[in-house]
Amino acid sequence: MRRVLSVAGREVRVEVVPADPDSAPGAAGTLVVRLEGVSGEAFVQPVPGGYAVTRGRVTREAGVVATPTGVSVSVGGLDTRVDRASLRSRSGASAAAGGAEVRAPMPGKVVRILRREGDPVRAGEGVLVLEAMKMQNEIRAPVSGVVANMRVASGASLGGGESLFAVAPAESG
Amino acid sequence: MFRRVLIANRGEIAVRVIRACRDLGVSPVTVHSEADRGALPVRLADASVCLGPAPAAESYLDGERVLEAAQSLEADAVHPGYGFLAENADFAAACAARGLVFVGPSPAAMRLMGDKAEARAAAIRSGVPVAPGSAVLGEADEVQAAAAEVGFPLLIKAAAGGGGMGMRAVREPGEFERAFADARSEAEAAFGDGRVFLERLVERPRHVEVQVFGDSGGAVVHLGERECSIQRRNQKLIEESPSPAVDARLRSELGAAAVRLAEQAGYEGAGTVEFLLDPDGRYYFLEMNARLQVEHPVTEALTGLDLVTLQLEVAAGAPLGFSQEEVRLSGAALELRITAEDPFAGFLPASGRIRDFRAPAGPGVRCDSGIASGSSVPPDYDSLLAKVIASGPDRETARRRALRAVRETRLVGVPSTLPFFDRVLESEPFRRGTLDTSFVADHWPGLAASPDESREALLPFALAAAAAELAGTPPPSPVSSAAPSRWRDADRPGAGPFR
Repeated sequence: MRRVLSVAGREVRVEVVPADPDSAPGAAGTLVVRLEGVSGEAFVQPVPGGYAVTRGRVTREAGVVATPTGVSVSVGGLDTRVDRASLRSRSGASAAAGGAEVRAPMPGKVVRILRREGDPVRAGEGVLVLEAMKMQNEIRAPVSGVVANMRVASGASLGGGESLFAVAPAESG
Repeated sequence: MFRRVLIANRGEIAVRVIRACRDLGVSPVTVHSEADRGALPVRLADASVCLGPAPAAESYLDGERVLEAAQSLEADAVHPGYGFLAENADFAAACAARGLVFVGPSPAAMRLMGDKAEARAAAIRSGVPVAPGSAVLGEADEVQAAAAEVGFPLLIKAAAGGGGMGMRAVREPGEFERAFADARSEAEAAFGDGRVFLERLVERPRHVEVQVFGDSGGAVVHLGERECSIQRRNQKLIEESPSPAVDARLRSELGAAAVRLAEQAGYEGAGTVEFLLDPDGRYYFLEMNARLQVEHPVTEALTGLDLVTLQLEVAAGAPLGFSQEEVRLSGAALELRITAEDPFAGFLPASGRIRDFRAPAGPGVRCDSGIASGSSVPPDYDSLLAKVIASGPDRETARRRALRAVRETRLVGVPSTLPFFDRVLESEPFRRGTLDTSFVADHWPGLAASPDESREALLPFALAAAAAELAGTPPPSPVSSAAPSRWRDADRPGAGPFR
């Protein structure tokens, strides 16, 4: 299975396949992950709360928690958010042609608008900040383009699933 | 000794008191809110009564419901832990009125120390140094004169204060009048008591506190100091003993001062006298906490005493059983407070569910926690989840063990202060022990932002885990020889993963 992930605004193509069970004794559910631009493959075994990830001779534990846009992963002293960049991975044409509408992933309150209508934005850049469960979540542009149809203002309280804004294709194409 | 003790608290401190009860052969029972039905202390206790809904005002802070629970469970004493009802003199008096022993100081001692102006006056009477300041102030004309006499920068403090409410720092005479009015109205609104007084602001202080213990026969001892300068929002994150800034002479001076104040207050049980230590080594009384402190295990590590069983024994009428000369402080210890807060987002508290928790262990490491894998972290209470106490013969050994414990701990599900400790324990100012209460403001932004090669190297591991989680791949079919695998070339015996 192929996916495009987004970490710190950078897109990374990944491939995930089940490990050969004959070669991975006692490690049912182990997956093999290949990362674009990273040599070698990682063997990923589910453990409570996340995965044990082995690259070469080193195995590290990763804790994984779902977020509205992907996951938050902790490994050793590293905490990072990794988002799905699924709209991009679709042939690209449909997303680019119609732009992309972004909805509130959960009920919350808009605490800051980072980009105004008409502002250019790149995929992965924050457009507004939504506070939910006492946490501030940056809502990012799923594709590159121009912010359009901003439907909310700073201070607005929202239900989950409400439309927030859209990202339209940039004029220059 | 008591037959059954009701623990009027939750989280790690409820677990701590349950352990002390069992060590004494006493039956521990607890109370809980609807949000804490499946919580660890509820599962560990002999019985637990639900007080009511999640908000503390309708559960843990409702003294009447706690007393009813104590009576229905046939407890003969109530241990309040810290926070909630622990420093509520009226609750302590109500316990006595129902024939229950309140494990803590007398209501009179609690009232004295709960009023900051009265506590300051008691410190002065006991010959304990206080920062230059004023008595409680009345009308406008005398106020300006008092401010000029105290000098700037100064603090306006509410007599009934707590948690920074009704407190104002004033740097310039021109800002004073307005700040004074604000502090008064804030204190009036928060405590129904607008009395305020002035105190000179101590700049760049260390927070150093002394553990004291008294018994019903009037004996009072001190058990050394703890330094708690690493704080955010005036709340502690790391505590240690001995303080890198306290030598044997200062220790005995601070200890003697704390004992004089406790004696003056007729203090029974565990208490803590807090001081501010300025860069020139002068110390000033800050306040006395009339209860067990979160950081008591630091003192337990140095003294070998169990402060919670000692609290219960003293409350049951037993003498302390040792003198000041018999108190031995050996080695060094550090405590880390693991809270559900995001250190990279201004220590914003978070709630949620603990997907996995593995406590650290091994030589010199103790972990007191109120959580287990699967526990929920309700948004209604304090964010403390667990405490790690690392000890050893010296500070450097304790520091390394603390770092080992941080890296061994697994906490998945909510953000926590673990990455904060990971960076702070390795930082140069912490290693040197050059601490003051501005440590977090001065050093954390730089430490939080600093890129670190060892962490960068972890990114491929994180991405691989994220890819596996987001792939949503079904479990592998029994035969999938089609899947390409370099597993075989990966290796000779012993070198492969998971072997």
